[in-house]
Amino acid sequence: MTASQWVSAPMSDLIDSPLISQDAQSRFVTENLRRIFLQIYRIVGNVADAQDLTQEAFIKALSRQDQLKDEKKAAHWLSRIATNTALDFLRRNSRVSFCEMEFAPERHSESPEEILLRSEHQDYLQKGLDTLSPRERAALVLRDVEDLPAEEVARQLSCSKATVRSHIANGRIKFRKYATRNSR
Amino acid sequence: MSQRQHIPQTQLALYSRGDVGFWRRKLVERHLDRCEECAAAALEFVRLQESLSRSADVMPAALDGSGWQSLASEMSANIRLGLSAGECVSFVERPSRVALVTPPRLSLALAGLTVLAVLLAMENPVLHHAAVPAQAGLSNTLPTLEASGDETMVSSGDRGLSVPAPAGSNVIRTVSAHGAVRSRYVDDTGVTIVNVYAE
Repeated sequence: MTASQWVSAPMSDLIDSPLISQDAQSRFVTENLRRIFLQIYRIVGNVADAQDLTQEAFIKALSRQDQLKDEKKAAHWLSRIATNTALDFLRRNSRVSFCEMEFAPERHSESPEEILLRSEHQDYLQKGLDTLSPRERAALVLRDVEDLPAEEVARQLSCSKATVRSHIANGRIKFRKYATRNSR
Repeated sequence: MSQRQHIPQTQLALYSRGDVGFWRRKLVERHLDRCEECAAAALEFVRLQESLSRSADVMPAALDGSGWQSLASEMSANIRLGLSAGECVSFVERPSRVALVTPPRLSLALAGLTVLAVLLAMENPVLHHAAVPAQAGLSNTLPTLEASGDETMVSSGDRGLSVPAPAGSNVIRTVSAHGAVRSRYVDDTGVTIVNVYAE
């Protein structure tokens, strides 16, 4: 599911009620967990850190829900918290990501060759994203993977539209150079 | 823009996803109609973006099959725990000015007052007696420990700290001399080891 398909309904339950029901919280987490995890994973590049940061982003969002004025923006607001959490993490650690070494369990719907190809393709894309700076990567993930408009990407990264266009252009050029170098 | 003067890469990169203004777009399109090299580059940008876009909902290989379900359950449990831990570590509010002073600061202030009183007493013995009642406040800072079926609490003076644990579970509670409290137990799903820590 990309950002343009986000559903923000569950957050309305949280906003209307001063006593936050656990059901509403659980629904909000369940409906957004996969999207936020993947968004953070594309930025930080490994599952373990993405797990910690996803949890952190949800806890921050649900603890500060009173700051949200417009429930229709709940999904973008959560996404913004996730992006900032991931970028803060990269800034704090300023480290390169490493490859996952786990082996994928077998899926019955795919042949071993298909699984290998898909896994290689994922690895190939993630390594391409890893060649970008954290802000270029975040901009490219939000624009090209999450399909957000450039204005929203600028809001999420707290910078001007001109700056975000520059990040997006640089990111695409670097990614193309990577793809040319590693063309298969 | 002539055919020999190619379009800069940055503009091609932005054009390929409609991130340029109306007039710039028209200019680029007119050039692409006549320049195969730039047209091929623009097509390559589009192809790479489509490739990234298709990967939006694809999980990393390590989380194929039941891997994601298990990770999602663990994350949901940890988020619930994080939220309840956030609530339980908030300070106990009591209408007292002493509550605004942290124990180390209070100790330092009392020690300073004692030293000052001793120094003054050497010059004026009457002041020595005035300094003594201030030390009585020390008894308020001694920590006390309370444990009930679903909560462990440490309080010191007018401030308190507690961590929850479900009643009936096999909970390991630890309290350190520095005022830290920890509860460790396996949640009711039997999957997640829950570790609540407050200091």
